[in-house]
Amino acid sequence: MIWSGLTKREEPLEDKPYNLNISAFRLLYLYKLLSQKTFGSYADLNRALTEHPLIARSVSQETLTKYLNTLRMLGCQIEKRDYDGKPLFHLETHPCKMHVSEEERLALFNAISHLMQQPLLTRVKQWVYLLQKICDIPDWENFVEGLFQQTEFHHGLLPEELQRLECFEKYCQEGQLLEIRYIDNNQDLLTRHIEPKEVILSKRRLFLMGYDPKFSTKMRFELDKIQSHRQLPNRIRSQVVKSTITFKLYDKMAKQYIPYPGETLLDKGEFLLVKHVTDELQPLLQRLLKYGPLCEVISPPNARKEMSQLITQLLETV
Amino acid sequence: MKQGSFNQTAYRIFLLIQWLKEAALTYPQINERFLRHEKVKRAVSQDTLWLYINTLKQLGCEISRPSPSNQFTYRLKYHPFQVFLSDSDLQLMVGTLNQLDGQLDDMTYFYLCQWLKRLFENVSNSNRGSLLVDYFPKLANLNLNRIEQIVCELQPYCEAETLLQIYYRNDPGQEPQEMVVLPKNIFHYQGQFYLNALSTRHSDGSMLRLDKITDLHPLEDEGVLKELRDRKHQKTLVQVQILNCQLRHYTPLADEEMVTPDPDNPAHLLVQIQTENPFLVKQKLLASGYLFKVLAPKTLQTQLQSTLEEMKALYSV
Repeated sequence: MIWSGLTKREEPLEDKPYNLNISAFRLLYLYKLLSQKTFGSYADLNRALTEHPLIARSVSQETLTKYLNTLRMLGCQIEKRDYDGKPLFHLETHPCKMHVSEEERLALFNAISHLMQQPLLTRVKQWVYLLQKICDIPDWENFVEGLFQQTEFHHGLLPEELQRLECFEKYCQEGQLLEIRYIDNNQDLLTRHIEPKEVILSKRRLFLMGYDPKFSTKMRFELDKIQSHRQLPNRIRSQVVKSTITFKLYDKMAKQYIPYPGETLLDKGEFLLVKHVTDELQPLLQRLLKYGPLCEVISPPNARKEMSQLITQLLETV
Repeated sequence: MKQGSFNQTAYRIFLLIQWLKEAALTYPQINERFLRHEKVKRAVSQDTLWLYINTLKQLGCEISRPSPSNQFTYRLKYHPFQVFLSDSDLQLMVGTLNQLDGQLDDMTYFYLCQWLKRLFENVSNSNRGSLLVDYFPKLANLNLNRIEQIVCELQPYCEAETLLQIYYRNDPGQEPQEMVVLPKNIFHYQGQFYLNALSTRHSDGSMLRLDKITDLHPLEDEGVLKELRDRKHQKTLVQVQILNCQLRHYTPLADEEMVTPDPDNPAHLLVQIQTENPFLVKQKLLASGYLFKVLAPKTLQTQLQSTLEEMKALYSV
């Protein structure tokens, strides 16, 4: 134990690195590593201990076992799993894991039940796994088991639509360029080469999100409007350039506006100038439409033009 | 090594984290717990406790020291033994919550917000201070305690149809304005909680953001109460044709609505909405992403036309 010889005094010497119990520190640092990361082998854990400036040494396997025993005695459930012949430690649950209140538990269960009614099951599974990693939820295992045992999900898709969804999800995983023939808002049939990224659900409609390598922009294509598709032999490169969309907000909108992720605000007195960094223009413009004449897209010119076109389209039909 | 051998000091420090996580404790209270614990059964000196606290601080714990202002207690403000959220975890959270947007009931949404706020306060990411603002800026601005408090106050008045005098601060720099309202219900919309009410000021219904209500009192005025109660039962029928949209892909715009395929053109939908707040319907239509035609009322169609013309004028130069 490193002990600085703490003597009687009114106040302890705070925050001095040597004024601590180094053996306990090592053990608790190990706990910190396991609680933050999913897996660690003996070698990984030892490397992390060695890299810490206050520890700067490795420990024997026997000591490591002792540390893990101590953690187990304190209520940590640590599992040793074999992965490629290498034992890996996984902290299943522990006393400092985030607890949820009864109301929060019900809210999380309710949210998952809603997600289960939507067809993107991959996302539900990722979400369930993430929640399990984050917090201790009473009755979690029974709930999840019950959910995934359901053979029929009420997502309202017809069998051929489900098949189509699975086909596009597969394209996204395979990472090859895709040629699609697509009906746009003006009912024109366009051919595009895109790098498929993911299938998303928005307002009950399924969209293929993809990058257009020609224009380096992210675009969404409603699955229902894709007339034909074929995979091309080229691998995707995913070189997307994010662009900054600048828009002005006037009057009460300027006073009340709360920035969205990726936005910076500049108060110009008469108006508020918002700079929004994004790789996808459409959802932003859709949101800005509801601000009515209290919002004006300034730049880049293509964003301004697209907003103007959206307004014209609405004006023609309304 | 003996089976089950363990590190005594680390064991005691770990117990300390668990206790301080639940409550702020004084030095004697901590020692009382150590003495009672079957695997410890001994008190520690003040110096040893300082050593334990310093060890925890070096690990990243934030612990306030005893002082007269905190009744000489140690209080654990933060500990780093919680999950680290990677960028893909955060993206998944944002994506999932966007996917759930508008589908959750108010209670579920409220407690989901509460859980998220607590989570972001406690994650072990080094940038946890700005994480919520970066990924969920609206939530970062939401004062959930205040909202919970005001919901508790308002709920009985909504149920009893009580006339209320409300003080509402529209702009942060301004004095709250006085309003007389008949509260109807509380709801959430795009990350904010609102009171849906009828007021003597507006002919349409009012959407009052709960966090902007600074004070409220019940009011006795039979005349105004009768007038607003009569209006409560008056609803406007909005009829909209949603162009090129199939029924199963349509997301409802309001609670009380009827949707059918257009008998004249099955590629379109006919939507009928009973609302006391046509303004909200207008907002939702604009942000919906649908191409649409308002069939009734004429006033809403005219309002939308003039709004869109004003917008178009901004882009004519």
